[in-house]
Amino acid sequence: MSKKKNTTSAVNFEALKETPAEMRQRLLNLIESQADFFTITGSDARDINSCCPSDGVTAANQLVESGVLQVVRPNESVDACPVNVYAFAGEIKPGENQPTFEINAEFRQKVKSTIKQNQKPPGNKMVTLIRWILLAFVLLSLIIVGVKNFSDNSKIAGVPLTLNLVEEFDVPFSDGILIFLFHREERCDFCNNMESHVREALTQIPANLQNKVSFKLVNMNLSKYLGLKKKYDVFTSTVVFIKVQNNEASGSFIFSDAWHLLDKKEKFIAAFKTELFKFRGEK
Amino acid sequence: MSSHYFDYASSCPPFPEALEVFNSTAREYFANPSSNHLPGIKANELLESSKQRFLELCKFTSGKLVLTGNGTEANNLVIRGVMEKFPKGHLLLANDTHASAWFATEVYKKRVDVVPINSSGKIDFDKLKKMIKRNTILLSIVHVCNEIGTIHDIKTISEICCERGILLHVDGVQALGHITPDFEMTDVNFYTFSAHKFGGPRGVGGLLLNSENINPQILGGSQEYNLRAGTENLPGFLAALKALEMSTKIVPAETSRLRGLSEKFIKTLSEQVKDFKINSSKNGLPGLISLSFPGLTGINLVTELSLKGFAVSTGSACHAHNILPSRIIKALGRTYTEALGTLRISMGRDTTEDSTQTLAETLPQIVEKQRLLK
Repeated sequence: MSKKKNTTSAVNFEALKETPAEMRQRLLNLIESQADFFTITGSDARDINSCCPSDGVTAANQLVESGVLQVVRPNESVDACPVNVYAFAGEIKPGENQPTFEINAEFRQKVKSTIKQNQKPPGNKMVTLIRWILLAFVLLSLIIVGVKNFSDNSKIAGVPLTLNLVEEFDVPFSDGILIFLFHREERCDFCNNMESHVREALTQIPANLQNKVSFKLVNMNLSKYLGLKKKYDVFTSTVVFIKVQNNEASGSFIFSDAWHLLDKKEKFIAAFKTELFKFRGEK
Repeated sequence: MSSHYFDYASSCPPFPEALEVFNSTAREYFANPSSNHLPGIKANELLESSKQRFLELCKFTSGKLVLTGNGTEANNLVIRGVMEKFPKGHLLLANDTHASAWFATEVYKKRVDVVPINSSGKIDFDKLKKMIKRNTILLSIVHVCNEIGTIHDIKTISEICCERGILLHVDGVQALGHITPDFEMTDVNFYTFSAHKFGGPRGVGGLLLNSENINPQILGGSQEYNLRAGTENLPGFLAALKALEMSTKIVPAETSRLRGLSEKFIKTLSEQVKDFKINSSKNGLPGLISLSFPGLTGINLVTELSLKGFAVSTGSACHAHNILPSRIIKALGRTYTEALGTLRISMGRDTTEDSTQTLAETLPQIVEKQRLLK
């Protein structure tokens, strides 16, 4: 079992300001529930050729580097995506066979107050007033959007709600198949190969189908596409088929064979075409 | 070693009696069974009489037993051996086969078709019949599915194969020593097993066969009817025989005990956890429970349970840049996110009610925690 401990005694609590809101919420939940640790499967996305890159792991590792968190990876020797077990710094103790966990209430309180502090509005009365006005405006907007989307289950709460796939991606048809390759800002070899295999596969589909299929790249690190990322449950480079009917996205399919066929180009292309035809309802 | 072991389907603790047999045989019968001197002849006699006893226990006396190093090798021997014997032959492979047979889809590509399983994990016989081609030579299926515990109707399947004149391979790795076959074993042409799954030692597998339609895969000696060269693992095999005798004896009592434990476990879990799916069935392999927790990752659950002293397993695996859900769980009709959150709990002869109850109480806490801390 390998362990990565904090090497510095000075904890940089400022790092909590930079960490994504999702991670801050996770830490607050960890503290509120008095849970000992949380787990994330995947590897650090900063290492572009690592196995199973995960933004969550990157964010947590940055907090490890700042001395806020500590990590153990119990399955590191196993041929599988690494499972990272994170606890607050100093809370992981070496056990006989397994690590043990000891909650440090004082440290947690400091983390909690740092996060809360950054969430608190400034004391200025004018600023407070402006915030209330803004809040009212946002609430009103949300109600309008909520009513608008009431009957549209292709939209998701809490993410950009008005994204119209056909308009956003300039899809040249009202009925057809939209193919997304979700990728990160930093492209790795896996992701680039995936794109090139898909492009090659698309040159091999029948001509009458070519104008009914549109292939688009989606940078899932862009905030405007967070909704799409959530909707299609994507956390790494992924190919997704989306059926478009009457300018609206309907069913979808994750081409999960993409990952394990990546280094077998011919098989990738054959499987891609088979799944595409199947998705269109053809044999 | 975890204090709560729930991974019998991966490997089962050996019977101490089997290990004793291993020790004594290794000490007394160390000579090579192929040697022509007295110790070698004695070792060979013991090997042959033990094989006969093993075949009797399996009710396969009219066939032969070929020893291999493990179940994977035995499955490879059957599939590669038959496909090489019939270079134009077509193979039918059930969708819930183990990776040690599934490799054929990669190696033999267009010579292979996959027989689907339905949402209950069973093979549709009408579909199977329609998939048999003129050149179909072999059907390879599992007796018991290692991931969800489905027990297949081998009797009906063997009748179909017999009627259509195709060979039948049944991977019995999860079945032998755990259930009593409800069919004539000799209606199956090739039946493979692995000793460590029923309380024998690691490194002993084998193939029961009553067909000559197979080419050897390991060459360089005439052992095992010229089908598998290499000095036989006599101590390992005798330990496997002892383990099979012991596990076969306890099958009836263990079947009802393990089914009872599983039922109680599911009941307790259902009272405490919302939104989960059961992939295994009540009539499947006793003590095997497969569950899917949508939105969670099976490997995270395994890790956290391991930190609490429980050994369980998952169905997903890491493949080039991602965690992939199990093909078998997806074949049941589960969504991608449901399949990713799959956990397999498998019990055996040393699993206690207390231990099962503790797991049933711990798992909901972990599920709730992981849902909160996602």
